[in-house]
Amino acid sequence: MKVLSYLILALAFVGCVLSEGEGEERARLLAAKRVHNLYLVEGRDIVVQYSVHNVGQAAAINVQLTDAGFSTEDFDIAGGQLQVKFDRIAPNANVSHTVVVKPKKYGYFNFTAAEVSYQPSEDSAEIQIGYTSEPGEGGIIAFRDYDRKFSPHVFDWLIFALLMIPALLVPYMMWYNIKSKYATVPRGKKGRSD
Amino acid sequence: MKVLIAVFITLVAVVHGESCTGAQVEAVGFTSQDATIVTKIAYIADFTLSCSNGAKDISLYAETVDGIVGVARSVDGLKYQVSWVEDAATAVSGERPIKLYDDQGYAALRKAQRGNEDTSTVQPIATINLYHPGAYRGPWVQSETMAIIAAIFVYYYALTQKTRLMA
Amino acid sequence: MFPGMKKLLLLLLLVLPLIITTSGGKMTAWAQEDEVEGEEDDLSDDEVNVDDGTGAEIDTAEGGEEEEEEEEEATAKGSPDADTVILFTKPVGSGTELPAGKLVEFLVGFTNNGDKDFILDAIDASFRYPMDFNFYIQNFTAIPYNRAVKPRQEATVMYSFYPAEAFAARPLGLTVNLAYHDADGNAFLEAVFNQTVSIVELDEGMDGETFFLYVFMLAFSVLLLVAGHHFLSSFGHRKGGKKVVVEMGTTKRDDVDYDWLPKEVLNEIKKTPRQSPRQRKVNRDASSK
Repeated sequence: MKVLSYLILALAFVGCVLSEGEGEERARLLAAKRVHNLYLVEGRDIVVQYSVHNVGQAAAINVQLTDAGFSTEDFDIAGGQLQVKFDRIAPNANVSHTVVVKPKKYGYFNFTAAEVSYQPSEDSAEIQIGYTSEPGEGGIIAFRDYDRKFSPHVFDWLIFALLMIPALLVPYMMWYNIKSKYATVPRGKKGRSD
Repeated sequence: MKVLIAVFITLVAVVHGESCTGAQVEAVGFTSQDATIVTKIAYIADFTLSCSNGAKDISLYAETVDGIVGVARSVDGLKYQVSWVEDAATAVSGERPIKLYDDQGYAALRKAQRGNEDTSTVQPIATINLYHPGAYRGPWVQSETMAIIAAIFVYYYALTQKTRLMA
Repeated sequence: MFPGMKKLLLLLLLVLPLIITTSGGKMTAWAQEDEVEGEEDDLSDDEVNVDDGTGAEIDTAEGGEEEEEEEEEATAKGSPDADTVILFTKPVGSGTELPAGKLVEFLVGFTNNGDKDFILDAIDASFRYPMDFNFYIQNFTAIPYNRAVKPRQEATVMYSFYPAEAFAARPLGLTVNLAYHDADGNAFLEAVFNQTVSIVELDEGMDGETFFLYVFMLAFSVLLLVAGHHFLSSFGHRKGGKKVVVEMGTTKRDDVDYDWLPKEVLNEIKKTPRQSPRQRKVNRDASSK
């Protein structure tokens, strides 16, 4: 038992030395930009999530996340902000940020990387600039096309029903007239039991 | 689309100078309400914070489904944003409380967590209730199904009348 | 479990005749047994190679290319000015346990510590045979990125793939290669991740959806049975009833059992030719005309 604890201590010491040997402790941020959509549709929500992971040994200070990819002429921002900062991201911690945008136009759109800038340690004046992952190009479907494909078509079915009504009603009325004419005949008891 | 959400302010007596006392939160919430094209529901709460003691530029932490996370701020430091996503299939509707903590609250919370103590003793400086009314997941019954059922019903009625006539 | 059993069976099938033929008339077992033991080893080795058929096939299919790549791997290590780091975000962890049939997602961070631009070309991931990383078991699509990283900057790229469910409960070698080149056109291929991972099967238990699917299927089959029973019985009844009425009345008169009738009545019937009422009517009409 004692030996083991010594060993752990020794290992810890070695680890310390090694990490010190690597130089100053720095934050290292990995940032991902994800689009959580099945379809990109004009005028409908696009959920964009940014997640920033700190895999370094030090806390990242003053982390600024800026996405210049959604210009106001192509997108409405439904929720969230495109430029935010986090005061501090501790080592091995992660933060996430979500923005919902609505495209104003349809067609192909290239989702580009957002920029992340941060100070890699508490006492460093240097500003590290990084970029998130790129979701890549996506086709934004025109709302009309989307609606044609996925809406419940209630209106179309109503029209269809209206068109069908004469074709059903005319024979029904004919039958009903005849039936009511003969309804008093004793045989009718079999026909009209309900 | 934007739902103004109820804000509950919890007043906490805090002794230290830099922290925020008498926090007033004014929040605007956004949640995705159309789950037909998205795979994840976004929960976003934008808010501004004003303190009765005039404290400015305060780092906030929020307790959400992801645990305790740092709150994003606009670059000018006035607007805050707490946001997270949940799977559209499992997203919960209704009131979602977001507890906000300042630095001291966060430290106390971490301490309580480390010591496996009850974290509910740590009072948040404010709580936002983000209301998610639930997302539309497409029609409950396909219109085609309804049409088929109607057609079957008409056909059945006609057939029974016919068989009665023939009998 | 099963491949092992199969192997054993095959071995038995192969070895038994061997024993029989080699032992011949002699019943001295020891030497023979030894020989058999050696045989078994050979065989099992063969087995393993055969088992690896898929991997080997892929291998031979791109044999040349692989050799080339290997050379490249040997020569082109990562640039000293580049620093890469990998982080598994789904599932969160070190990446040594990956769920079978579920999305695996990781981020690769790239820092340019030099003073020239780097261009990230692509990431490709592949499952290798854990004993020998030169055997490919499955190659995943290489995702092209074409992203420039300026000096003193960093970039993150994301890669995701689905490990096939067939690999569940197997250790596999996972190699993730990042291909990039610098502004001078020197190409690099850096193995960002090169470890043996185990593919684990997620035990999800019963989720509601499948449960209700089963319930629905059960209910539907019961309904089908009930409907079928009802239909068959009613159909059979009606048909049987009709048959009795129709046949007794008109067509097959030979089948009728007249034993129960008194003799006199039978004689009466035989005298008058039986006719259906309609026929009688027709006759009557004909006569009246």
